[in-house]
Amino acid sequence: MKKLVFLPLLFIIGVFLMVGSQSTYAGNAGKSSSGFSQNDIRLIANAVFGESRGEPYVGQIAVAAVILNRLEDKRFPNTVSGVIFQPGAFTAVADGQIYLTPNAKAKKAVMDAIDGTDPTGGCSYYFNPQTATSKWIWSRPQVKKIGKHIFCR
Amino acid sequence: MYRKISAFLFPVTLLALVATGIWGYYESQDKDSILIKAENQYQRAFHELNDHMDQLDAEMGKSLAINSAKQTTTSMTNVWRLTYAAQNDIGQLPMTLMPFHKAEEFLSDLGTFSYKIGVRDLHVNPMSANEWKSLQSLYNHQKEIRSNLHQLQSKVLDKNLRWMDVELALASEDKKMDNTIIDGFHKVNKMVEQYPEADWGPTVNNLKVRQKEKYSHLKGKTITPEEAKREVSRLLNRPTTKNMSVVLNKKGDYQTYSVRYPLKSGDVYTDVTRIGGKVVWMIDERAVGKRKLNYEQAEAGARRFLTRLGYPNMSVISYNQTDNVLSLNYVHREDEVLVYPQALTVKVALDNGNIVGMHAAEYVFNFHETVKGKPKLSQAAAQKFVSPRLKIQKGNLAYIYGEDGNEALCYEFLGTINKEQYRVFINAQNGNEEFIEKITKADISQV
Repeated sequence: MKKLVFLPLLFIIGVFLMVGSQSTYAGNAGKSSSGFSQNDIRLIANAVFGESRGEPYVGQIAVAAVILNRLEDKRFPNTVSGVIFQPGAFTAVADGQIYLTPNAKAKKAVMDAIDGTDPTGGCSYYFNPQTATSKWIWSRPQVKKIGKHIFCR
Repeated sequence: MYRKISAFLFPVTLLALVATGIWGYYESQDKDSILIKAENQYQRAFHELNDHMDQLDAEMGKSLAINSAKQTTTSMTNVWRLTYAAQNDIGQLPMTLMPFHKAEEFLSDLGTFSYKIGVRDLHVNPMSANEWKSLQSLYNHQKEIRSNLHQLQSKVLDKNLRWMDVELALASEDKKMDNTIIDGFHKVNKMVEQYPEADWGPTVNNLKVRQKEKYSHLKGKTITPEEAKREVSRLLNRPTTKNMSVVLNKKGDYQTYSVRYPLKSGDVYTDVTRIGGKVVWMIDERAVGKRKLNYEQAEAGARRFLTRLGYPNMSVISYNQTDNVLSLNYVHREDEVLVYPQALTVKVALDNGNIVGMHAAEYVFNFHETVKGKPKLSQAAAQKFVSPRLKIQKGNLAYIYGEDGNEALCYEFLGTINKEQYRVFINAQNGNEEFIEKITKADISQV
């Protein structure tokens, strides 16, 4: 009986220790610090899932990276929600797919992007050439293609 | 018989028709009300943009006549606040696909310019003649932008123009629609494009130059696609380059090869610079299994990996863990100085210790940076400049980009206030508090 009480206690202490010791994310002072709140991360994961759930993993990181690049870009809003909900910025926002529940892969892609991986090499735009309606987007300098998306400056 | 059926069906059909009509009426009412709500949001943002530009105009005009430090500070911080508000308004309009970028950049730069003056100790370092001249020419540009937006605002009000139509026109690129709004914004953007580059002062300029120069420091020979593959096989410790596919990315700030390596467990993706053949990032999409390694074992593995790559003298500055992958953030160490611009991240899978990710862009592009100068202050002397409220855990020398975009040799102090952790950078020459960072704990497991 004593053992039974002791075990969950150990478990709880263990969890506390783990939470306390892991997860100290600190951006380095060389680049702008990236302290995102949990809900920011969830919001980005929703956008990534809604926009690119059919894409390869690296393509999902790329979409997350574009959102992060827009935060740094003078031409775009300065907050995660500002960038994501900017009218006309993302089709998944326009058609409500952003409200789907993201899977583990999309969340992991967001964390990889926040950790600093940017497969796009600093792009602020992407589009799907099959469905893009804007002619203007074609005039942007294209950097690379990942999955179905073309990423551009 | 037929009469009987029709006698029965006629009223039923009639009823159904009326019901559909009523239903349709309410549906269309609902739709209209939603459309009006959306339109109102756009109208509000647009008119507020004009409002903020008016206030900005008044504030900038006033600032030219100010002589005292105190008033300059008030005025400049107001300019900064108003540029931010105006940018915010623009962000709420459906203009993502409308070229208004130059004007947005202008507002952003104006914000940085005024912020830097506004927060400066103007008693010690008053506004220079050059800054006043810049301010004056920026004011003239701002005036011109504002008057154009005003004309557009009048047209919107005169002709009762709808932003919802703009959205439709942008989406369909229909030339027949009334494009007054789009044309108006185009005109402003064109105008700003033609302004000569303003003298934004050292801060904005430094950052611009740094951005441009960043990629020109890559040294080494131009590699072939085959060599890029070999570089990846070396990184992954694989004997062959079989099955790898490679694509050259010509456009972009720097040319890279994207190498894809399909494995049974999932694909591995990498980018290798064309000049010098450096791996900028690598991602292995393999699903990581149950945790078997502890932090020390994983960190030792990452260190071996870095040594094998030929990246010695790296120090862990922070780490985090998501789904049994440990991300370790390293910076380069040069004679006990942590060189922050030379940073890279290594991801270790905690099931078998394999490296499943790396990103080293900052390390690769800032490799030319070497520590310049010697500290004038001792660590104890520098520590006197740190807030006495901070409980200091450790201190060391560090090389960072200060807030003005220049390199600065600093003492770095790690400390806590009320269980929150902070990094404070004190300039080792003059004791300036260069940079302070609160270490954010993102509890990723709960996302």
